Amino acid sequence: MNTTAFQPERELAVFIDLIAHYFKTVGGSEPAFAAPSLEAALPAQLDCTGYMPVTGRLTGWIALSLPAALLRSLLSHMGETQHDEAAQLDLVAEMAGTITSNAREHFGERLYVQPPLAASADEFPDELVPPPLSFRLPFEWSGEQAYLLVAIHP
Amino acid sequence: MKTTALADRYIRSEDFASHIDGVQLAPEVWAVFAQLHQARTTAEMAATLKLDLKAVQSAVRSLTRRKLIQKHVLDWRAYTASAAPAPTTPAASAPAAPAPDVVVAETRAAPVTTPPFPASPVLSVNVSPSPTPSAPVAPPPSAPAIRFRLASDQRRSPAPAPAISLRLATAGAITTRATTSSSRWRLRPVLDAIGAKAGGGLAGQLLVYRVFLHVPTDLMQAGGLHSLSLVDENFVATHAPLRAAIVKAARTHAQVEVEPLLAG
Repeated sequence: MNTTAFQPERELAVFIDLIAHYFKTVGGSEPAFAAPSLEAALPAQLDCTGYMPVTGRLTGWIALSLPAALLRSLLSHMGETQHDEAAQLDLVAEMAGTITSNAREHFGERLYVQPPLAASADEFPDELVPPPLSFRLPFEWSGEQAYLLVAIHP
Repeated sequence: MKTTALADRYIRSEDFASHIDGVQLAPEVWAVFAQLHQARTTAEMAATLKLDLKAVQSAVRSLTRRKLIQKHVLDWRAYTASAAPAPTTPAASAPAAPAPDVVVAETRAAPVTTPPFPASPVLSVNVSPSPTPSAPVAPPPSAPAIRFRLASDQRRSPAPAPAISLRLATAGAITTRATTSSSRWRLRPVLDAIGAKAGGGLAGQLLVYRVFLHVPTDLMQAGGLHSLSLVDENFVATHAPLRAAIVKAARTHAQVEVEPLLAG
């Protein structure tokens, strides 16, 4: 079996593992992932999205898009009392920061994970370029629907 | 709320140490943080560090959002007791930043993204779909330029649409389900075969994604492939050029021969 040929897939899957781990650690339970889909157009962003750009063997970004209700729930779980939009964006930034930090540890120099960005639903970071096709992985946590988006350039 | 933010002074949060572990920032951002052992304005730091004011403002927001710094505020008694914050730079005059439309965000740091990394994220130059184990790694950008998002009316509008469009919930989403004919070119076996090459599961689905990244977008559009659930059992490709492109991409990027799969 050729174990090296598909390393990029495994590397991308690491992000998904890290996200599951984050929810388990911080929120107390792992999210339930649903069937993924390929999307020719970027899906509509939910209330807050954390973007994690990558370069190196893969070029693109991974995004974690979350609804306000999920973020409020997570904030409550963390004992935070402030649940407004600023707090939600802070949390998304923290989540993305934690995930990218762990990803850097995992990847070393194989994949350079750049500093994350956080944006509300009506913003899309100018610095990111949408790929021709993205990989959308929906998940549910605490009864709320969210998704992870893998957006890699060919 | 025009330029009042420019007059604000910032200082490290008292509990910054509890937030700093694991934080990765561009060197310029840490340089700003290093300045904030005492209260400073963004203009002061821009002058000291010889950085663009916008970059410093961006760094300040990034640091604020991570709770590493905060606005420097005192009550009156503390102010009088401490003989006032040292430099009396009248930040309101902010000579370094006359640009009228650089009206920086709001009073809080949060909603604007602060992306400290290179302007063009190294687009797809390295089209190296079959990675070699020792493939060279793109070096990290040495001194990432801090880019800054202006908070103006224009900026608040949704992202300009070039390649972005909202996914239609149902109607447009998907597919050409074959209603016709002899050409029963079901995609399911193809997806399964590609996925199996990566051991199935999520890695397999991600390999399917990587293969389809090499199918030209115009062919996907022409073939009605706008959104494809990877557990879809029914998608049938009726568009011959799309089929040809899938065959080629599967062969090239996953070493999967499609035609035999369909022969049975």
